[in-house]
Amino acid sequence: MSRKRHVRDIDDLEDRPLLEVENLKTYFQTGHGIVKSVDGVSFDLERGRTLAIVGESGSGKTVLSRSVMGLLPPQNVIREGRVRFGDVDLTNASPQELRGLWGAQISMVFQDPVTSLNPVVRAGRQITESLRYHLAMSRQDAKETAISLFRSVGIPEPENRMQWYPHQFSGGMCQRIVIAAAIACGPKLLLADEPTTGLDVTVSAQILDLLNRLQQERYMSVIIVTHDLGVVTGRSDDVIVMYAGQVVERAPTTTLFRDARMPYTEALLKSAPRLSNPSHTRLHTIPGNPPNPANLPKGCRFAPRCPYVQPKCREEEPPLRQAEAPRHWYACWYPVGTPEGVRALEENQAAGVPAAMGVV
Amino acid sequence: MSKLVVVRRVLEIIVTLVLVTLVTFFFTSKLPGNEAAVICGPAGPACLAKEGALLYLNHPFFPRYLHWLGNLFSGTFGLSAAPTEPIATLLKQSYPITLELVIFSQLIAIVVAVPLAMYSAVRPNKVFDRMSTAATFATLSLPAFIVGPLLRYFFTVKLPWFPGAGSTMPSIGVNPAQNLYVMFLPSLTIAVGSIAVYQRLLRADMIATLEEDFIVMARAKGLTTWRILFRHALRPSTFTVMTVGGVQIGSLIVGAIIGEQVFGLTGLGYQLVLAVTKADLPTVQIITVIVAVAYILMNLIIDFLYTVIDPRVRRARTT
Repeated sequence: MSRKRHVRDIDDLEDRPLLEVENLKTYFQTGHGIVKSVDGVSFDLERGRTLAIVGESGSGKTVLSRSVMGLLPPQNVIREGRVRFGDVDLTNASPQELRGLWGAQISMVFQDPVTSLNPVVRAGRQITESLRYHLAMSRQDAKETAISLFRSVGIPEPENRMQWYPHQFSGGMCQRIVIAAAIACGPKLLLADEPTTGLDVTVSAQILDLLNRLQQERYMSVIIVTHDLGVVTGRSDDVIVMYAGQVVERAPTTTLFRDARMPYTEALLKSAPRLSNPSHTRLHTIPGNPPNPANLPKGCRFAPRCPYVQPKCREEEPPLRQAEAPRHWYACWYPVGTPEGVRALEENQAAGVPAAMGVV
Repeated sequence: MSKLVVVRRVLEIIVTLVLVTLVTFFFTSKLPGNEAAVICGPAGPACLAKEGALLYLNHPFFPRYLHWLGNLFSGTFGLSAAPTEPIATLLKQSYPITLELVIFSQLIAIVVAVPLAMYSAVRPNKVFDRMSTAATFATLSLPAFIVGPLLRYFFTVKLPWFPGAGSTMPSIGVNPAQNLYVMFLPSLTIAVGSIAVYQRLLRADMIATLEEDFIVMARAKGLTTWRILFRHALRPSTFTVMTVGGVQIGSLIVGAIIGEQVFGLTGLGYQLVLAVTKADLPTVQIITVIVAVAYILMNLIIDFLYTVIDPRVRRARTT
């Protein structure tokens, strides 16, 4: 019996990045009003590069990654803007077209590997089902491909493990299976939504190295969503910092670590533990909480927690502005490391603004 | 399942069986009247003495119980009181009818309820869900003694699509088509009460399953809704339905009475009612035990099905 492939083939457009996201908005209609989870995000991603999306819980980074893919609940969602992937406009694609892309051209690795695998389906079949559905492989071919995928994500004794159920694997092994399922059909774009949050530190480093290696072997574009800047270092080409549904800073990774402009980015960098600090150094924290996405403040959304805050910040929303370094953008009226920024911070410290007092 | 678990299960079953037979025998023997009197009718004291001796009526409780138990395990089940004939003969004619009625009716209920539940769960609280919920609730509030006569009136009298009560029914092995044709309406009568139960339970579990991360992952794999529902969502959603189904089927062995009565089928329920009205204690005792055994078997089957459906249960049982 001949089987039908279910893949929407895509062509790269010449001189254009693989993925272009333009002013993407994703709002949810809830009982408490409209929640603006993603509010006008733009970025692009070249073939074979890695982009990290960083932000604290509730900043909209997970919704952003799902919204890029189109993987949102069917009801009570408003999605505006444009997402172009190769020659396909994902925002206007039909459900059939999306299904031909999902799992085949765009894949996702989820946050919790243990609950992301179906507990009543053998590990092997969770890989082979995509191969058989999208690529129309025979049972035998799909099985052999899955075994080699298991091997390439570092699962020992792959022939045996194919027969196992998810609960028989550790969390790290489950994440390897989820990754194997995601890359099975050779996607061009891989979205990893907090891929290491549920794992312990050594395992999480292994998983990140695995993702890196697979990306290089397969020339994939990767988007890693994370709250952990440590994940970003040395593994991503570019970083987007999100706050309350918006991009507040975007830069090549090295630029961002050296030259952060947005006070929120600075605060995030400071709150990461450092090996160079003496032991028992208190971690820096960001006072306050992110704003309620159903009731956002006027002006800059970070203003209520910002050490640099000035009256203008509470009135006018800062646009994304280009910094001196190439491909570095930030949204702030009084950027860190500029004379205006320094003056704003000194004034606040002199006036005893609580948010500014912790900053040395 | 490991050896230890099997041994434990077997022991449990043995203890349950002993208790069931003991309790059944104890209570039925406390009922007023005695079997010898029923058997002999107007015949004299000579008959009473003879039958009494055969039934161990003049013995104390325990020897009498053991004697009865002996009959039970010999497979003859002793003699019924009115008319006097081996209970085994009676059962041989009636149990296939009840068994078929139970299985057929539950198959109908599942075939109707599963698609309704799945479609409702995909679009909860939308028009289809509300309509199917209302419809199944309506059937839930219709007792079988209303549904049965209505079905019989409309589909054998008004529209003679199905054979009427008391039609000759070949056994399913001889002429399955004719057999199922006759059995359809009685089975449907019983199925009506089960449809709502299965639909509601499966719908609720299915809605919960569809919220799971692994369903999002299945969607992200680009699988069709149909595949996601059947390959990923259905199996993990069946636990409650299975548990309730087990209890339901156990209770239907007696619950089939109405279907049997309305359509003139001489199944176990029919025999039980007949035996009770004739004060035929030996038959009542045996049928009660059979119902209890059916419950035990059903539970055993359900327990086994859990392990088939959920590999985590399989592991929990072996460790």
